[in-house]
Amino acid sequence: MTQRSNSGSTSGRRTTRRAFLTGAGAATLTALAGCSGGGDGGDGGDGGDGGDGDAGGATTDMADSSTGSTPTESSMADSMTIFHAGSLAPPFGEAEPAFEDEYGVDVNREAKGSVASTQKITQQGRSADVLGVSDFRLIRNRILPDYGDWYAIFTTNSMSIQYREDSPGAGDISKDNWWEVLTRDDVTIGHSDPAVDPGGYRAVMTQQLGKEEFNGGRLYDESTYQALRDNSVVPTGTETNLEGQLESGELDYVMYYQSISSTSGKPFIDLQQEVDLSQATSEYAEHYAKAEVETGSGTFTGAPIAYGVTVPSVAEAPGRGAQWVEYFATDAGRSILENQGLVPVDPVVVPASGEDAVPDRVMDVASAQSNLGPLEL
Amino acid sequence: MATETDTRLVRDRVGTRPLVVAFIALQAVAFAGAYTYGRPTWYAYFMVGSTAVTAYVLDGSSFTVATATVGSLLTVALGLPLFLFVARQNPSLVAEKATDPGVHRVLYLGVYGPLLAAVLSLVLGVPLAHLLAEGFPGQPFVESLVDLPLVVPHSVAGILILFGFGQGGAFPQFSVLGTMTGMVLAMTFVSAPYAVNATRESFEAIDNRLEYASRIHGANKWATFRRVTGPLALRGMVTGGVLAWARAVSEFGAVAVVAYSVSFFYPLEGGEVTAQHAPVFVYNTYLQGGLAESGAVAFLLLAVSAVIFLIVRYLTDDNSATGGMP
Repeated sequence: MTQRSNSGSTSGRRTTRRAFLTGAGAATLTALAGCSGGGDGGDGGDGGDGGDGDAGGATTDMADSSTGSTPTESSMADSMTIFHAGSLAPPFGEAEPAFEDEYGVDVNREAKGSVASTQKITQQGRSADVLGVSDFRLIRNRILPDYGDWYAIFTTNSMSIQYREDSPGAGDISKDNWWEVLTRDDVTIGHSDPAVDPGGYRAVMTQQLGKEEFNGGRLYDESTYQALRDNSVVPTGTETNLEGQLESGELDYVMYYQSISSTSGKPFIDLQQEVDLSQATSEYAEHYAKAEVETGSGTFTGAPIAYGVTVPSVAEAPGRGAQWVEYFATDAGRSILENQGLVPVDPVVVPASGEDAVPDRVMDVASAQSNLGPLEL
Repeated sequence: MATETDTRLVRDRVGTRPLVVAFIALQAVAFAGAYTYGRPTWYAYFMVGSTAVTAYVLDGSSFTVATATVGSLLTVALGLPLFLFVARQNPSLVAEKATDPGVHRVLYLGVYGPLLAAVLSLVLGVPLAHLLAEGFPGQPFVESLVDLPLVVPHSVAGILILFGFGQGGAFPQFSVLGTMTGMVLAMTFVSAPYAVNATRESFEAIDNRLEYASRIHGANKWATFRRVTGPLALRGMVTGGVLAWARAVSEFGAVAVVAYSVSFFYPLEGGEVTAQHAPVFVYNTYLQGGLAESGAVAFLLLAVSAVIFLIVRYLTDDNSATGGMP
């Protein structure tokens, strides 16, 4: 008897629940139908908008051409796509709203590793109006000549060491003894995977350069270098994971770009220029070239951390792309780069060999060079 | 009585087997034709059309034809990208990767690590699933806690594991960064909900009266679980385990944060080796060698997983027959 009434009440509850679920399901379906219907309508609308935008672009073009500049109609679309390295996310993110306001264009950014960003164009057949990577050689070797004709070196970065307030040895470490603290027993140094991330092989280069003579002196000897390597681990493929791993206590020190360490709020060591790969001059470039890192994906030779940017030939709005590059070659963009711990190259450098292909608005603010120390452009 | 049913089932199965083989062969031929002709769209239409026709011929009722047709739309959405992926593979590249000892290690780790995670999920998940099926006060809170890992973004899940179990977390004596422990913990975190929920469903599907009957006949709770509810829920446990295993095989984000490269005991070489979890390895192969090479490794992973799925399904079909209860 009791049992029956129990089951009765259970089934009663079940019925209400089922009614609720049916209602919720029906509501979801309706919403879905509405969405897809709306989506279709939206698509149609977008198409229309695109047309409108083009027409608007054409009007602007006419206005522009009356003032002398002559961008083509499609090159000044009302939206643009940027593929860029993760370490460029802070400056590009900061520039985005100002750029959108100034030029009336919708900027879509996709941050990924430098190599992966490049391969979106070369392997996946996707198009972008700007490609920004943390090593211009990626553009020089993989984008040119099939997917682009030129590039600009617009900023450099430097390697740095970040740590926690309670990392072992944190009380003693300074710019003048970091290698002594980092080689102590039970210290774990983390950097990303040299085989897949430029930030990884650059960390190894920094460690190598400390044992190389520069202007008659060196920071430490071969055995210190070996001790540094022995304390180093590779816990990630991209440097973006390192900060969390440092904070969790699994790593004591991490080596990555100063643009990350200077904006993270944790203490960091600003390294000597002869090891931090920041100087894009011939003298330093020759010194950096003494470092050589062998990995599963090839051997990398030391060079200044020169960020490259280009407008790929597959761009749908190349005019917008050139505007973006120009923005970072002028004062507004440069101050953003400095805010985010990067070192802008002033004026931006373009390879002399591809000078003809550089858009006018970029060439106006760039200098053409044929080499950077031992580095051919 | 029982034998009669059994023989009828067997006869049915034998009767349909050639039909199944013929249907699969027809599909393969049609796909190969459409692919070599450069028109995979044709195959999509063919797959839906042939399913509808087959359903009509075999059954004839409008309901079956409708369910088969709609169902085939989903199989097109699931199957076509996979078939095209397989067809695009370069056989010599696949062969090269298949003989690479580095890839063997990755595949071993990619099967073995998730297996540990699935076993851990089940060992700890079955008791919880049993409790949840029985019901207890405050149950919704526990249910939500079990389901929460499903919505945590994967790389965040990795960070959670690092902070929870790492040097600065609750068990500083365990090292999780770059260790097998960390990898299994990360995988368990993302896959345990599947194991718990699937097992719980199967416990709930068991008629309460079977349990009462068992208790009335003098079996205590342990014996009831061992002889009645446990065997009846076995299929659910296996499904949960397979789901958890599959989820762990595909996990990239959490593993890339916690255990980018892992040292483990590798029986084929009889010692410690270092390798990366399969999805991490596939991504790195893509970065270093491009789409074709990473596709070849991904293809091998798919093939190994498909074989494991088939084996598990084959074994559990037998188990359900010997389970004894409907």
